[in-house]
Amino acid sequence: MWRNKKPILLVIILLIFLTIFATPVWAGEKDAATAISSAKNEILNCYTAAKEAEVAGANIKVLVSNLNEAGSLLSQAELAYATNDFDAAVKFAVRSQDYLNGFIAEANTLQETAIQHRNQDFLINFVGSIVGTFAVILVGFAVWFFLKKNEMSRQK
Amino acid sequence: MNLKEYKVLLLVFTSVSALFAASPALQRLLVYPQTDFFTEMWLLDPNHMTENFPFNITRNGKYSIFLGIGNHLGSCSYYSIQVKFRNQSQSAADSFNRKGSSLPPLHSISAFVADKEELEILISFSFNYVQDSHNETLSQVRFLYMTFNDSVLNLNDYAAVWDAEKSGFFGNLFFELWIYNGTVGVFQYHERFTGLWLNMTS
Repeated sequence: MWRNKKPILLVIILLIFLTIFATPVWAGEKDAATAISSAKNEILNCYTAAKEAEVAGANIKVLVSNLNEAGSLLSQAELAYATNDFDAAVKFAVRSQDYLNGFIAEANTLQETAIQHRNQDFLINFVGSIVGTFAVILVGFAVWFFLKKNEMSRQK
Repeated sequence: MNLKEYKVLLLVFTSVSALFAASPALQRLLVYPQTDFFTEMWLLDPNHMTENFPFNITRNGKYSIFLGIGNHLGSCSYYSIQVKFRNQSQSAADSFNRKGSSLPPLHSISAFVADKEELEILISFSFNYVQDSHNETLSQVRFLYMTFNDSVLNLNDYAAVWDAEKSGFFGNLFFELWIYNGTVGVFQYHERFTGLWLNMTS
């Protein structure tokens, strides 16, 4: 009788073993860690792009708002990970990355536009202003010489 | 009018015109560089004032505050706000030694703030706790969990003992500001913290 039950018992033990040590939990954890790490890297790359755009003089309000949304999702992913809710962690991390789709391209466009504006602004306000100042001084001299010449010819 | 009078008039007119023409360039040259680089951090009550901060709280009662950050560092910054909770005897952030609390954060909030901009975050929280009695007198409050913006944070290892001097059980919910240092690639304590003392006696 014991012989007949032995294979069944072995199967049950194997099933229990699989339930406890089965890979899905660990795979979930690994996936979640990878997704979070990937989302972190994406956020850092986007942050660097936004910072560069800001240094160039771009208005980065929209970019910062998107970064905050993505950061909030990443925080939720990390919280879910800490509570062993790996499915939610993956979901939030992927959503965080999705939120930043096209971010770097937008940041680069803003940066280029800002550089163009800055160059244009420099040309008009700085170079133009200095040229204008010299022009005013030159005109002042020209008027002075003209008046002096007139005065001298009148005296003759 | 003789030439001498013309000379003065012309000189004044030319000088004023030259100054006017030079003003856009001068504006750029005469701007003093920013010398103070810092970050502001503040808390406001639900009405955006500093008058009605939650203090006497009840079990599972929901409270809200605003946490603000102002960036004056000269460029966009990446902050991490670490949410921590402690009783009166646990490690606190220290302004004099410029160190954060040694307690682990319950939660971290990512915050990006552009230069000369501010960010305000609405924070809603509640606490679930039990009061332990000893000889029919309350001896301690054992925390179970807190909800923080709808996330549940585990507080199983936290407790507050009776403060005989102030007659109450007190817990300190505080926020430490950390900043991302791109050079070394890690978050560093930014020497800013703010928080609330909460009375869990009722």
